[in-house]
Amino acid sequence: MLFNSLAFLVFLAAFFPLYAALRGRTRLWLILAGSYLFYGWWDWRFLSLIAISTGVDYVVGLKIDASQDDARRKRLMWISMAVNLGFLAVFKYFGFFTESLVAALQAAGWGGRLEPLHIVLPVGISFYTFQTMSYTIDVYRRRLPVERDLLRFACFVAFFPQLVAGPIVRAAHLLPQFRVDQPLRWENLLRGAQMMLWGYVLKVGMADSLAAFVDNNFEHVHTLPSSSLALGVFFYAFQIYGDFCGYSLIAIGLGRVLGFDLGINFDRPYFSKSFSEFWQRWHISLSSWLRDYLYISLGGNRHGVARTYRNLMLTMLLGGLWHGASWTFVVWGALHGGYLVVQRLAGPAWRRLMDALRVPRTLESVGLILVVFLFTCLAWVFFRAPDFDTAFTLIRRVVTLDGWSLAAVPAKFQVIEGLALIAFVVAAEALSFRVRLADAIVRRPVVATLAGAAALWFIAFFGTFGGDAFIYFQF
Amino acid sequence: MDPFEHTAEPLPPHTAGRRVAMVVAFLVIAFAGDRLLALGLGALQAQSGFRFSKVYAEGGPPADVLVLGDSRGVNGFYAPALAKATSARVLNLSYNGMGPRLAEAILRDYLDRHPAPKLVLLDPTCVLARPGLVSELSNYAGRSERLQALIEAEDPDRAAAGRVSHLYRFNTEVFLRALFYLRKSDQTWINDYRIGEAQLQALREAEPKTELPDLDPADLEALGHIVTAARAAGADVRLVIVPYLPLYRRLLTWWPIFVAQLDAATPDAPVLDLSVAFDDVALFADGLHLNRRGAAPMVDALRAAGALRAIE
Repeated sequence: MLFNSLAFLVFLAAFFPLYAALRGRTRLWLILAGSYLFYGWWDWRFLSLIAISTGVDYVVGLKIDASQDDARRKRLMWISMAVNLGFLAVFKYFGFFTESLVAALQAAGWGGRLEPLHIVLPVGISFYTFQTMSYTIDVYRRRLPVERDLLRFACFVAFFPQLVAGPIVRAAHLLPQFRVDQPLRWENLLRGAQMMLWGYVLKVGMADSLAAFVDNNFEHVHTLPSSSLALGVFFYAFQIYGDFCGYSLIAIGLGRVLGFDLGINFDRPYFSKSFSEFWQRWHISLSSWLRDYLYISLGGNRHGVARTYRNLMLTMLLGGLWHGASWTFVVWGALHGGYLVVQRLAGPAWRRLMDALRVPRTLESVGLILVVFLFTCLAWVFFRAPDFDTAFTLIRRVVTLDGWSLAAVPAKFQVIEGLALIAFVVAAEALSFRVRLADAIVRRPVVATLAGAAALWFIAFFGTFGGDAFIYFQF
Repeated sequence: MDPFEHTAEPLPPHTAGRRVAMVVAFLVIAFAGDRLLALGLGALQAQSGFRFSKVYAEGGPPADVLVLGDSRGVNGFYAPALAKATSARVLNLSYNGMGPRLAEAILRDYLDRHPAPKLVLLDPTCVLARPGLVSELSNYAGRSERLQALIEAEDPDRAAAGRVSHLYRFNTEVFLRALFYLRKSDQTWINDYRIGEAQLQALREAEPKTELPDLDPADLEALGHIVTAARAAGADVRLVIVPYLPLYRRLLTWWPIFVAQLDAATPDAPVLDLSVAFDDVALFADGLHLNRRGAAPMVDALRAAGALRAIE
């Protein structure tokens, strides 16, 4: 079920009154049933994966908690890893690995062929498997008390607002919230609705409106003028931001309406002045997951410079692979890993240079924001391109200004509308660094009412309603 | 401070009455604002010099020549060049993706509101236009029952959404164009660039298109209706196929069958096939469209073929 579909609105209209009326375990059963319906609407067969993941991690958690033998605890933890990563390996990566293997063998002279297996990728599998794995690892690390209530644990795994595309909420944060009946508060309703509306503005208003221009450019990298291709990449940077940040805000806002705190997932990432800052602002729940469960597990920065760089690269490579089973995602991760390494290497020299030149901090900040954004866009090319030929052709043609002509940019009105939408969102975000904009609005009933209506008008006037799925569903 | 970070201070308490008032006010403002904004935008687009605004505007100078077609019609019958060569008042109503059924509705709406032109030029290759434009004209649906009926038939979801939100009807690129041409005419709009080497190379390497796309019988019928409607109003009608770049046109191996189908659809108005009239690459923006340099030679070709006789 998509947040931007009529089915979801009907679902919510039926779910919410029941949720408000029920208490205790009955409410938990409603959450679970609603979550399974929400997921099963797409394909009920894959509910079995969620159920298995839930069952395995629940039982493993109990057994880990019951054992004082470290070796046995570790073995149990690895069972959970094997099941969850096994799901990912089969449903997400099997085709990729076999195709890569066959390609490598063919390159080495093997003359055989292997028909690819077309395995359907279950929506959101990367999100809920990471969420449940974090629970088991935290129980294993004795950082989290075990959850003995299966119903509560099942709600934690399948909670529909964040089930299919995050945020990946840690058990320590979310599980306790299922232990009490979250009261329905007017304040939560207002603040949650505000987040949801802004999420829809970003998704339906901006991201989906940019999609057509972006798609056309990535489909015609050989023929469109490079000016258009450059704009296509620029638009994609905001399309994916609006799409995923919009989804996250709808999810978090919906959680808030129901009384839950799901944390934050994006914090104006394109205002980052460094790549490490970017990763503290972009997909925060994933980047912090990778930091806590991968980077630090690999040793983090505790074993010297070389190991730190290796750990950074490995973390970002696997982060890239998490997004999709394709070498283009691996390159995207490698680029970001490389950015982080170069930043660490060049950071002190850069500081000395800026101080020596007495460059004003504001000017330096603006320059750094632009540089980080530019290199982020470069990486987005690999993220969006279906293959390396597309990515390299696009980059080559833009860098060499091949056929550069603003007059020949197609769909100029789409471009003007897209630029206006981006400018609006960037201006609102820039303003929010100075003023607590969201809070200022919600505190004034008249302003809140007008702003809510204006958001609806904005969506009606600019929104694209093609039933476009969220980009991150494919991950 | 994240954008939705809130102060620890809770909101001031709202009484139940105030909450209800807020919800009611929100609904009323959202609904009334939607209607008011739509009315305002409608009034604004009526002032525009955009081609469709001229169709639905009251008054204005009548046109001697009306042009209909898709993007090939936009770039193939350049109104300023035609006007300069003939001293006639030309209104090009072609639009990217405009198929014959939409062209028929636009023509009939024009004829209902304005004196008949002397000549209607139509590029019949608009039967190949991909559907989708009709709902893009929903911002004019409030002024045309024909358009509304077409939208209902082709995109019922859009029509339904447009009934809920009148503002949504203006959520189209066509409306943005109407705004852009608020104080100026759009008739000077034409591709102002020439085809690049990369595109030429791609065309040289392209495989021929061996299968004629399925033509919708309703579209072919609409071609005949356009001829009938224009003639009934007293206008001469010419069906002219605007030139393609020969490199592109040679890929269309089904061409003779296609032209035969067009001829059969309009037996009273023979199709003038200029599809391979020009071979100078500099006259083309891409394989399908002429550019500004192609405008004058196109007028010469029309004149030479006798297609402009009604205004000369």
